[in-house]
Amino acid sequence: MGFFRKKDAAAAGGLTRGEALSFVPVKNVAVRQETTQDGKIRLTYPVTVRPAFSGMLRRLGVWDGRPSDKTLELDELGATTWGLTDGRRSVRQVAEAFAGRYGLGAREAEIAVASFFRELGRRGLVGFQAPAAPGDDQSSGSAAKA
Amino acid sequence: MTRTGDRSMSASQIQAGLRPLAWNGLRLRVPMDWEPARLGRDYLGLESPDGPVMEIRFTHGAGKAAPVDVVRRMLKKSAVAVEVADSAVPRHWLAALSGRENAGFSCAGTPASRGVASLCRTCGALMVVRFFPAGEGEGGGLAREILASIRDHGREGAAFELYGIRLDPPEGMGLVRFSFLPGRFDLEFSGPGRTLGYSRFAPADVLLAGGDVAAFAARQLSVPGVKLAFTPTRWRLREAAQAVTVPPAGPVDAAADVILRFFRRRRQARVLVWREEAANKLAAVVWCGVHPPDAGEFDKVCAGYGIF
Repeated sequence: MGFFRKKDAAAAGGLTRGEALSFVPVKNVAVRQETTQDGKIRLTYPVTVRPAFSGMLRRLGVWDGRPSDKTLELDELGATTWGLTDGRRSVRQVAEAFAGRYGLGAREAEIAVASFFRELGRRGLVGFQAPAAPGDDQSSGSAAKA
Repeated sequence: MTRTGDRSMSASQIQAGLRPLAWNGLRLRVPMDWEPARLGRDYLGLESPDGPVMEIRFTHGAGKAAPVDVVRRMLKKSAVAVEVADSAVPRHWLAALSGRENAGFSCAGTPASRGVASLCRTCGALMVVRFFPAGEGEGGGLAREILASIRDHGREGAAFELYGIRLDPPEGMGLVRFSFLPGRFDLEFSGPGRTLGYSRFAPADVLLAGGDVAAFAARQLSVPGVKLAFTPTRWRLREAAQAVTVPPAGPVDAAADVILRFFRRRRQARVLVWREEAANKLAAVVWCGVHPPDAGEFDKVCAGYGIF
């Protein structure tokens, strides 16, 4: 039966669900935020073009070597989650606030918020700060690569 | 106070902190903060905020298989040390499943676990329940109360109650597909010549922004081979939209309908979507079959679908 062959994430060197949810999402300071005319949140963030591609663009004189910008428009749910990201709340706390705002179950909100942060992390819009150990100063927490 | 008195008080305290949970006909009571984390048609894996707490695998067609043999067969390829003996679990766990044939077992490893395989000799319902240390409670008391609450046959209570939905599909319909994605849950059942789908969408205020339920339903719901036209309506004082397959118009269409129905090629559908204002969610029931679904029976199915 499958459940007796389950992989233990913690034993394999990964994070348990509880540990992952205790990380604090921190916004990338380079991200610019604006509100569109229809009330949506638009995020503009710098991206580094791949070296091979950038070399060709530079030779053609199309690119001056500076990082280019990309934009991401958030829907209402994304905008709420982005607004709840204050660099102090953990992913779990953001999910709890999100669940309370929309009347969702804890598990459903956790999955939605976690996948949203995973996508933002992949694009480099947020980083994740490890939770401070008991007794540690908050500022000493290490930042995890998204 | 006697020791028996202490124990019964403790049991009642535990019971007060439990809530009902049901999955595909398996009903039990679990602590408030336990949620299903992994689901299969015959499998339920529960987690608390601290991690995995309990797993159940169940079947209704085990025949006369002895629980001891079932556990041995299951665990024969296990990489960790396994003990299959009633002494491997607290005696009160086995007593909680009285009237059934039980076998206790324990598995070493990280985390260690132990549980009970239990067979109802009368109807052949078999379940294998496994608890992780975080799910056992003090002295195994919590696990005992959960085991005592498990019902794996009969129709007392809803067959599905989880993630804020409660439903009981009509008799003869079996679960064929399910999906629980953030914002959208779908369960599909199949019976002779018909299928029945239940959906739940949330949050309703965001999904309906700038539109009504009918427009939302037209965007989100479809039935292959069936053209659905949603019309706004009220259903039991709720904002709703419904779609019913249009009956054949004209003799040619009617003749084609008879032929297609004879070859079971034409499907008829009845769909109702409604808004649960208090829960800020939308519910939908899609009934589809060779014959047009009966309006009364369909209404009964919708009324039995609870969103909370």
